[in-house]
Amino acid sequence: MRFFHLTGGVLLGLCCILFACTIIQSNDITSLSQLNNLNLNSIVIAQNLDSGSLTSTAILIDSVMNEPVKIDVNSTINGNVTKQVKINWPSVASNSKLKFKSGITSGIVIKNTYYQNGMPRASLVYENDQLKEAYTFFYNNNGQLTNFVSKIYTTPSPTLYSDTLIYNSSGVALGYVGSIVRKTSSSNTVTTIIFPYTTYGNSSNVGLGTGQGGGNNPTYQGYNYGFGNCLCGNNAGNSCSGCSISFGNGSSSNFIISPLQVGRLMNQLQIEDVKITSNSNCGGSGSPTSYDTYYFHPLMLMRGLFIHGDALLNIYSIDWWHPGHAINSSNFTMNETVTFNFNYGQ
Amino acid sequence: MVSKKYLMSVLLTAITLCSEAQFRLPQLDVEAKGVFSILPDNSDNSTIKNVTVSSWQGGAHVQLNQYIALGGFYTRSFSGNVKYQNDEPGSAQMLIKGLDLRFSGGRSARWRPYISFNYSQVEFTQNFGGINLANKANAIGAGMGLMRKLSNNLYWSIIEVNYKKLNTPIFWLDNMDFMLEAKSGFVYNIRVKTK
Repeated sequence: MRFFHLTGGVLLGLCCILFACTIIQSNDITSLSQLNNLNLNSIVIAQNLDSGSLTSTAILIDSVMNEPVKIDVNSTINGNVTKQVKINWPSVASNSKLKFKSGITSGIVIKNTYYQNGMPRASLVYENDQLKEAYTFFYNNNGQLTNFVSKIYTTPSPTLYSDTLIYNSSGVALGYVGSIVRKTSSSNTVTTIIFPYTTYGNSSNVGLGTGQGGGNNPTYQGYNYGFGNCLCGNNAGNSCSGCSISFGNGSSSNFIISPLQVGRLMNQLQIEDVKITSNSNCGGSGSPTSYDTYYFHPLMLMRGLFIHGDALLNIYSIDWWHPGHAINSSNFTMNETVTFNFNYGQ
Repeated sequence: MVSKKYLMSVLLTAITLCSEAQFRLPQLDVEAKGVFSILPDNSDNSTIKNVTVSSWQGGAHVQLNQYIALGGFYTRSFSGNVKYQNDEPGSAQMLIKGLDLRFSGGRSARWRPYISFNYSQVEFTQNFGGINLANKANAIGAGMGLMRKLSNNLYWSIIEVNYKKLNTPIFWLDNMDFMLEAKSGFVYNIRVKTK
């Protein structure tokens, strides 16, 4: 009897104390809004290359602009640039897969500025305080990116791409960028690039690719872009996306992008140069090319901030993706990867 | 972590129930189980395959009669993985504490099937790029299992399967909102003789 009293009481007391225990700490993130307000502290760039592994870290420094700058040239948006993030970018090794279009390799600082609503205004790439690359974003009142200007300070004259983004107003990809009207400074030409969309798995699972949405693969500067996810794993849906580029005499090259994202925050972004395609659902690949080069693009860091940012990063592969040159035969033993790991703090 | 006010109320409740027990003498059983839980992906465009968690569970039941028991359980993970489509898994932790009502076959039979209904609090955390994400939800669930009698006091709970529905989906995991559990372990009856 006494035993029962003791045992029952102890058990009950123990149970109640255990019920009060928790694994949630006071500084844990418990909501999406808390999550989206975190600061990015550093980006670890890990490259797994045929020539070996490279790991480097970009350090971010946040600063509130002392005097908010009203910067929208057309005054169509009521907003100020209120925040600047300075990124001390690591030196670019000679065998790095990730390079800069301007060719800079050291003393690199990237300055990203943001509107008060959190959307990026510009991404400026400096080498020893000299501006080498400038990317500028313009929006409409719905928060859609409507214009994107890229300027690469190459010699003898800078290369300027001024893009107008046209959004689909109907079809499976309603609200996605359907085409880009590009003005190029060097050739003084205007090119329209139309992007096809399809659905993966179900009707709300939209991604770039030919299929239900109609349309053909775009061709730009001699490359034919075949978007799709057949190089991704089974049942990847649109969580992984990719593209096969074909050019010349049947040469082809491939990439897939695998993100980990929560809310607007990227945890990880991996771009894989897929040379071994034998186990994929894509069927045969074209003649091989050597490993590709990826050029820095601000969307690699900011993809999560944009509406349908996954499609935008894929679309801008026309700028950041440079396929390897055609080779006669291949003896690839691995796919090279570039992985951005984003580290946050409160 | 546990307030004094809370401890006092727990103590008072325990004392009250212990003195009540002089007039009615339910039997107790205590249990120790291993638990494997899975939270499947419920979204087509998810980057996540599933979440798997391995835990230990301690529990105790007051047997209202030989068929019905009311008790509580405490489940704490020792290993957890968030599996992504194209990446190494991320580590996760889970804590579940709750109450359950068990309906079982008679104690004397060699095989003792049972069903249970439970209410619990589920806490789930995951490290995400250097910070901890956390979700707390209430869950209702149901399960069924089979015990085998090993001795007068000891039962082997060969298998128990459970379904739990969370009222607050895990916000960073594509709103996962249910989990499946498989459990196995031992149940020990603490026999109490009446006056």
